[in-house]
Amino acid sequence: MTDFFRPATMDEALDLLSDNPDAMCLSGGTDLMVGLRAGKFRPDVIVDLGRLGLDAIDILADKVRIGATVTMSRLSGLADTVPRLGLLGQAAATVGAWQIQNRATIGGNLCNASPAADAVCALLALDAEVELTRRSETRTVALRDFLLGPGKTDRKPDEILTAVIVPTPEEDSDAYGSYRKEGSRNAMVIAVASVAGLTRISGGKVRHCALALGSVAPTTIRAKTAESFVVGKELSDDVVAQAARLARDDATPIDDLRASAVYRRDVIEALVTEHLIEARQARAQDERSGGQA
Amino acid sequence: MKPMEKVTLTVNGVRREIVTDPTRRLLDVLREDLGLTGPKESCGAGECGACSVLLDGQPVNSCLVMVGSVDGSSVVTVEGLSDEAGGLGPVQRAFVERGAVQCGFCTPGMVVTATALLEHEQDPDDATIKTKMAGNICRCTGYAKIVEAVRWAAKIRREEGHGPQPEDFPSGRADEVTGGIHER
Repeated sequence: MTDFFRPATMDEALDLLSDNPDAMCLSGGTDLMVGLRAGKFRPDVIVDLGRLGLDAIDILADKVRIGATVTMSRLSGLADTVPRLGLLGQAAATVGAWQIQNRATIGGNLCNASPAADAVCALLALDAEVELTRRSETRTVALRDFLLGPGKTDRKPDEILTAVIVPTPEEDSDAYGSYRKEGSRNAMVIAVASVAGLTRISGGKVRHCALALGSVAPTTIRAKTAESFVVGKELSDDVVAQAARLARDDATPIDDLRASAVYRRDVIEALVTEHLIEARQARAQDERSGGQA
Repeated sequence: MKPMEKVTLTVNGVRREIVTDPTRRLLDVLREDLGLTGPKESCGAGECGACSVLLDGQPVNSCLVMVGSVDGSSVVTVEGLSDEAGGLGPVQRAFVERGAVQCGFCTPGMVVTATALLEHEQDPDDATIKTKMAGNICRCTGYAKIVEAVRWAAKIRREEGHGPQPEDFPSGRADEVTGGIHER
């Protein structure tokens, strides 16, 4: 028998976690409920985070703070207010179907730490940080350091992931962002491979490029070789092709039920090409409509 | 702090206090404790949508909702979607009239999601209907009629009970009524 708690204050929630080291936090439940039923988790204590007021989205001057229990449905609408978060909205809109998006939360997606997690991939491209709170302290960790492996994170048993913080630097306001995933069908599919990209071009050259890859390593990862290759260069067809080949090698996929490793590399190459070409086109369009670069 | 021992829900407009294990699934509480067998279990993993209900007005998979976590919420099942006189509501009627029901197992979930969609959008196009209903799977492969039924329901709702006309469906068969499934 599992004891279920639904604390109304952060202090109560944190006490429950520090008194019960194997307690599990419940947010939307879309992963936890499946895991419980499969016998993958057998917690003595479940602490529901629903009444802790972790569902706020704060849009600040140079960052957006997204509370842990903000749902995918709300994230998909956020792009209208903060264009830089467009790729996060696109990713959130591909998490399961509408029913899942109404329950699944950003904090849950992060703590479940699936290498295929759509929103996590987008957040990684956005250089997000996660905020972790325990009784005595609150700390922030870069998302790339938070993700340790499939289902493994840097969250300690007595910590609650309270928010994710996405920097929104002024100079990146005209960067092009996209999230694309490849799966066996269009709707509600676990990605075979995915790419979240954020690229800023100015003065004809790439000034910033972030490429996060999903489902091709133990965690979502950044294609570092490809990123540093394109920065400072003009995005010619040749540069795009070379970057996509480098991203292919940044990936370390495995063969599994959903796809072969080789196919996953092919997908990464194709999706990175697509992102960079779109970024170039978007920039060309901006320059045509806005006059000067 | 004490563990939760009872859950309060407003189900189809009626307030219910349920003494139960709060880690149970909303689906099981609805079916086993409240006798509402409209929501069905098929996959039990959030893939099929047969267990869809409205939670505070939004469609969710009731098989993935821990009942304690929605204490105080309002739940509407397909049983709560009838019209004021207790007859079929507009979306239910549209599914019957357009023949969008084969074996019927997916139908309650389809009707629930379609109702939520039409609350959001009065006149959704086919692409929107297909996107929003992607989490409801029909294994009799009746999607063409289901999409048609949602458009039909939109029309019924817009006209507030004044039935749609044959010319609204150029592909035809507006006069063909499947009929016979009027008992609840």
